[in-house]
Formats: sequence, C-alpha cells, structure tokens
Amino acid sequence: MMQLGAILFGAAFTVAVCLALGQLLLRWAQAPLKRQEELPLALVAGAPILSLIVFLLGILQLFHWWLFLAIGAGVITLAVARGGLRPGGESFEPLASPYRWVYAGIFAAYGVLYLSNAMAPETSPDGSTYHLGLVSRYLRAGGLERITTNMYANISQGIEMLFVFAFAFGRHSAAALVHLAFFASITLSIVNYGRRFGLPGAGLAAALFFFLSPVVGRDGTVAYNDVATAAVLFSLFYLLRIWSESPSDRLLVPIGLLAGFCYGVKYTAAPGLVFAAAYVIWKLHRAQRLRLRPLLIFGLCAFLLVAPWMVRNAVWLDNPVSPFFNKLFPNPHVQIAVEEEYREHMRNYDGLESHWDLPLELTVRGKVLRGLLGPLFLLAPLGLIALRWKEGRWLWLLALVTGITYASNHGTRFLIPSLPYVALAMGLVFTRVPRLAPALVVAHAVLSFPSVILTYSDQEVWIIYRLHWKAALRIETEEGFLRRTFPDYEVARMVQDNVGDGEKLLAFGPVAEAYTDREILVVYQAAHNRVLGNMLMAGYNTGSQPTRRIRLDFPSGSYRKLRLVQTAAGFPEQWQVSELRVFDGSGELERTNQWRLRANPNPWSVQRAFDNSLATSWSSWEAIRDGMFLEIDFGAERQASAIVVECPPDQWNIDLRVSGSRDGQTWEPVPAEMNDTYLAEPPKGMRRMVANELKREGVRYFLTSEHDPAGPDFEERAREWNVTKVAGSWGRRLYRFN
Amino acid sequence: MLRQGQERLRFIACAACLLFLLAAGCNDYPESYPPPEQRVPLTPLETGEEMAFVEAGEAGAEFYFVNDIRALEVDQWRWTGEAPTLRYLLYDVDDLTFLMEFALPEVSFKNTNRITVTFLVNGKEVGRKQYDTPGRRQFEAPVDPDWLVSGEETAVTARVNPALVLPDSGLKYGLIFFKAGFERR
Repeated sequence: MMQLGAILFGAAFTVAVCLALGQLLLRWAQAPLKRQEELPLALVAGAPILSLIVFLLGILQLFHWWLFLAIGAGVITLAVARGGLRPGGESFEPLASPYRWVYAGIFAAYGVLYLSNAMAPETSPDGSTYHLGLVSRYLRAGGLERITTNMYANISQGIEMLFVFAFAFGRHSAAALVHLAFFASITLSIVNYGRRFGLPGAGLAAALFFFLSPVVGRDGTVAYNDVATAAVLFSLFYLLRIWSESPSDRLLVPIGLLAGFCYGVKYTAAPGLVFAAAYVIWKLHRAQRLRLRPLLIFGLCAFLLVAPWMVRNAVWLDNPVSPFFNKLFPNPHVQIAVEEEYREHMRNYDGLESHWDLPLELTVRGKVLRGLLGPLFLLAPLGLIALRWKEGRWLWLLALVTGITYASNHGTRFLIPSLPYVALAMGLVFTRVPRLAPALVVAHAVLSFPSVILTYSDQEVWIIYRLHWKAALRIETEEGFLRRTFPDYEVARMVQDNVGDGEKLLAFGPVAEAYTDREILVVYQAAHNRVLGNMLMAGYNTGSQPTRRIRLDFPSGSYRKLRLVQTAAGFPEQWQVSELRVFDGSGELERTNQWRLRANPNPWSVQRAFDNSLATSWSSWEAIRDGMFLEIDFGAERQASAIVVECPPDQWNIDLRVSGSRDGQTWEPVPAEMNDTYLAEPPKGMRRMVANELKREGVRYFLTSEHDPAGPDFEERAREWNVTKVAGSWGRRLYRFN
Repeated sequence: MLRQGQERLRFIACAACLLFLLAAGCNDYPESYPPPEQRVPLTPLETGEEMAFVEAGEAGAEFYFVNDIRALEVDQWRWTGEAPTLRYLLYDVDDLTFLMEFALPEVSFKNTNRITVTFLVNGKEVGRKQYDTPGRRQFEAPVDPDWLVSGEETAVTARVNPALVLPDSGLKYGLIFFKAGFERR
C-alpha cells in the first residue's frame, strides 16, 4: 500500500508542479484560453520549466527528494496563492455530439486499460534499459554525471528530467504515469483544438483516433517520451495559432519555452523549433511588426531549453549534438562509423523489405516496425481531401513538420508526433459524411482492443496485451509480476546479484538497467564499449584476428618522423592496425619514451597500435579515405628500412604508402616495396590476450547469450578465455574473467 | 528605457551564444601520445590453449623444447641430440595418438646399419622402432590415457640409439626433427 501511495504521489506531485508552473506562466502571459484548455496546456507549458529546474539541480548535484518536495510544494503554494485553482476563462459551448456518451464510454474503458498498464511495473524495452536506467543512475549519483559509455545519455532528456522528479518518490511506475499524464493532455488538447477552431466533431473523432491507436496506447503508458514529445509539439502549435490570432509578446514566452523544449525532449522534434521560429518571424513580418523584442523573447526562451543539452554535450562529450554529427565534431566518445551504422539501422528495420510495405507494416502488421497505428490509418490518404480547406492545409503542414524526421527512423512510434494532425485532417473529412466518423471511432475502438489486434496483426507485436489491475494496485508484488512476465528483469537481477559493486560488465545486448545499479557497457552504445566489443571479437572471430602481415621495405635511411599513409578511397571498409613496427634491417626499433605517436583520424586510440598486443588495435572508425595516417616522431633521427603492419585481413582495399621526414617539418614520399602475407592460423593465445586486455580496461564480467556468436565460444573455450560461468538466466550467461 | 532593456537582452543573448560556441570548440586532448606500456607476449602455458603439437619452425616452438633440440635450419627442421625431450600441455587426455615426424639422414648410418628409436611418454615406453635405411619417417602410436594428467605437463622423449657422434667435437646427433605431438583419434 505504501508503494502504491508512493507511486501515485510521485506522479501526481510531478504533474501538479508542472500544472502549477504552467498555470502561473499562462496566466502571466495572458493567454486567452478557454477553461477546458487551461489544464492540458498548463501541464505541457509548465513541463519545460520543471525540466529546466531539475536539470540545473542535476548539474549542481542536488538531486534530493526533500529538495524536490520543497521546490514542488513552493511552486504549488505560489500557484494556489495566485489563484491557480480558480478556473479562468470561459467555457466552450457544450459538445453537442449525439454520440458523446459512446465516446465517453470508449474513453473510460481504454482509460482504465491504460491506467492499469502505466501503474504496473515497467517492462518496456527502452524504458527499463535507458530511459529509467539513466534516471535511476542520476538519482543514485545525486545529480547528472558525465557518461561517455552510453550514447542514450547524450541525447536531450527533457522528459527524463520530469521522470527524475517523479522517480525520486514513486520510482518506475511514477515516471510512466507522468508520461500517461502527457497522453491525457494531448488527447484533451486535440478535442479542444477542434472546439476552438470550429471543428468540434472532427476534434473529438481525431482525439479518439489518436487515443485508441495501439502504438500510442502502448507508448503513452510506459516510460518513453514519444507521446510527451507529441504533446509538446501539439501544445506549441496550439499556442502559436492562438498567438497568431491574438498576438502578444508575453505569449511568446511559453511559445519560446515549448519550442526550445521540442529540442529538449527529443532531437527528432527539433523541426518544431525551426518551424515555430519561422512562423513567428513570418507572422511578425506580415503584420509589419518584425522587431527585435519579440524575436529576442522567443529566441531566448527557446535558447534556455536548448542550451542546457548542447552545453552539457559540448563540455562533457566534445559534441553539442552528440551522438550525431560526429564528422563535424570529432570526438572519442562516438565513432563516425558507429553513428552511420546506427542511422542506417534506424532507417532499415530488419524485415522491412520495401518501402511499399510501410503502409501495412505501420497499420496492420506491426512487428517489423515495433508497433502499429491501427487499420483505421489505412484511410489516412483520404485525409488529404482536407487540403481543400485552409484548416486542412495547416494540419497537413504540421503533419509534415512533425513527421519529417520519420525518414531517419522508420519505427512506428516515430510517427506519433505527426499523428494528431493526420487524425484531425481525417476527422475533418470524415465528419462531412453523416455518421461516418462515429462509425469509424467505434470500429477503431474494436480493432484496437488487444485480443482483436492479435487476430490480424503479427504475433509478438508491441501493444498492450491485457489489463494489469492486480499488478497496478500492487496486490501482486512488483517483484512477483516482473519475475513472472519480464525475463529481462531476471537477467538484471542476475547481474545485480553476481557482479561486484563498482565492477564493469560488458554485454552485446542491452540490460534492464533500471533494475540494477551495476555498470554495464553495452557494445553498440559508445565508442569505448565498441572498442571493447571489437577486442572481444578478436578472440574468436577469424575475420577480426590479426592474421595479415603487410611489410613495407624501403631503402635504409635516417628519419625524424615516419608516416604510414592510407591512400585508397571510395570503399566502405575501415582501416585497422593491430601493431605497427619499425625495423632497421632485421632488428625492430625499440619504442622509447622519446617517441610521439599521432593518428588521423581517431587520434585518441593511436596507442593501441603500439602496445605490443595483438588483442588491441587502432581503427579509423570511418570509411577509408585518402590521407589517413599513423605517424611516429622518433624524437631524433633514426635509421629505418621497413614498416611491418599486423592487422585483421578484412580490409582488402587499403593502399598503404610510406612518408618520411628528416627535419620533422617537410614530408617526402618514401618508395617502398610491399609484401602482403596471411597467416593460416591466428596467433596462439588470442582469447587469453583479449581477456587480459579487457581486465586491464576494468571489465571483469561478460554477459552473453546462446544466440551471440561469442556465447558458444565462451561455453566451449572457457579455459582459454580464463573465465568462470557464474550464473545463467533466460538464455543469458554471465562470465567472470578470472 | 525600452532601448536599454533591448540592449541588455541582446548582450545576454550574444554572451550566451559566445559561451556556447567556446564550450563547443574546447577540448584538451593531446596532439600526440607516447608509446604505452608494452605488453609482454604470453608463453604458451599462459594462453590456456592445449599445447598438443609443435612444428620445428613455428613461432614459439622453443617453449615446447626441454632438452636436446638444436637451432632451426632453413625454417623447417632441427637437429636433435640423442634424447630430444619435448613438453606438452593436454587437457582432454582421452583417445590420443602420439605422432612424430622426423628423418634419419644417411650420415647417421655411417657407423651403423640399424638405428633404434624409443618413444617415451611421461617415462613410459609408447613404442620402439628400428630403422635400417635413411629417409623421412613417421611414428604413430596410441597413448594410454592413464599415463597422462589433464592440465599438467606431459614430457615426451625420443631416445636414439646409436646417435651419431662427431669425432672432433664429441657432439651427438640423433635425428632430424620436423614435428611431434598428440592428435585425437
């Protein structure tokens, strides 16, 4: 009961503080809102302020529940004192739809389903791994911390800051309930949008189209941020419309904050900021009121919500927009190749054979793109008829703005931000035909019911499956529910129970980090982890093992510096060097402390090619291009006659040349004869070498599964890896390096 | 008043932008790095791999040699003394065959018509062969698993009788060694 109370308090308190802040802001801004509009818009308008406060507290390492309590109580008291509880503005005309009771029934039924799922323990893939994994990590650390081993910590986390606030009191489910509050807010705002702009029937239908969509229902009831992002964008455009009809500089404050918050909640919502800025400028220009003051108000407010994330990333990660644009901001934390792979992966979901499959995958099947909008949205093209009307053109413009980033990620949930406008456009068209919209709403409600979905969708699709009222009310314990329904929880607890405090675990796949406080390095999540993962692969994967020897012989000469230059271009492969050795005759030059090593690109890991270990390597971490080099400054002139490169074989197109410098300033090509040989067998002891290097990097544990290529190898060659299997759960095995 | 307010706002905006750009452009990575700590190569015993077979010319072959095996000649063979001894590390000791490939050159038969080679595994005789003519030979015999201990060194000796003795130096030459070790049947 205590736990349930904490959950409800954490969520309600966070929502109340947002509402209070939003109410204070909107009233100060003299937003001409109707009574019904205040609540949903205040929640979203207050969110950027609370998010910013939490961010600043995090930077100051002041994440304490009692401080949150004090600040929240202060804000609520202030709002109450300023009349925040008194309803302001006039009411809309009552909704006259004869179907309103049917609609209310549908809202209520799905509302209970959604509430029970949001209150149930968190089992979502991303929520349990990084959304709440990072939130719980920040709370343990007492504030935000520099994390270079998880690129999900690099993206903006505006909504996660609200989760921090809620999690401090009610943990996981409180965060999910905060997301649900945004879900409720946007649904109400869609209804209100219709009422304000003269399309009440369309608004009501659209709200239900959105609310009942299976992917929205699933996403909005877990600790994700897509529905909240949609709510921020919708509220922004809502207020922009109001501002365009009743321009005031004060109203540009919440508009600017929300515009900046678009970037602050999710990079993919950044076009909302750009659009809002352009719209404000355009409107001011058309009204011949283009002055500095409104632009500065808008710009500064937006900047307030954008800057924290950019500055954090610039200072901590050397890239203000990490984990993207690493070519523009080269840094050791996210490799260019990894970014490109990630982008490619997001664009091309496994199983999506053609873009022509998108309509059915998005609306009916759902497995490949991890969620479905519902078959109703097969009718979305009919919404284009709305282009006939000005309102319809506006809605489709917003759908385009909010959906433009869908090209970068084809997951169904990335369409959620544009769904309200598509739904409204559809509502606009369908309400022109008597009884069509209610019929479609009812059909949509039936087709979105969990047991019905499974009759037409793929199996194992990401939807809400059932009501979880016992788990929601904690009649069934959280532990019991998670162990019964969520295998990843068992794995997380296995990690918690067996990995020592402060010890690092390397894993190829994600772990439900929201349920363990151990440090987990997931291979694909950061440059450092990727380097460790590649090192591990060199233990068992022949393609990654340094079985190739490239010897470049040149006339013996005296050099202050030598460079090995890669000149090929136009191939996707990367250049990788396990060891680079310099010889004079048959004797290798000793690597002395006088030497200075450089590399371009990826200068940060050049030492890995000069450590006398075949388990480690330097890699370009981007496709080969002319001019990449590894350079040795001997510190003084040294006699040399050959360079030997030991490297993995799978870099068929590299073309290596030698350059030399006698004075350390001017470079001259050194004609060299290349001799390329391949070892039939990998060097002996690769597994043990790799294990030793991983230990040197502080990695004491490795989590694998029988599906990983590494899994069977660890099972069969445990002695060579020098590991002990310490635990296993749900096909995952935990090994300790001895 | 309004103008002053605008200028203040402009100043704050510019300062914030400048700070941001400075932060974005700053990093303190060194331009070059010294060589790191050099790793010491693992000995075969440290690799955790079975040391079951060795060829005369392979890298690290010396680690297998305990006694009486000389330097590598033309990348693929070595002279031995009269009782070359090698060591192996075996983990799975069941169903193993000991195999040695070697040669007895003509010069070894200068003072004798017959050379006997006795093969010992952990001191126990696994086989004995008599050779009457020079040439390349292969010896092969199954090994009783009871003679072997998993995870512990296994010693193998090939005793050559008689060995060739150089009159000047008194050095003894047994056979020409190519490869030897254990293979699974």
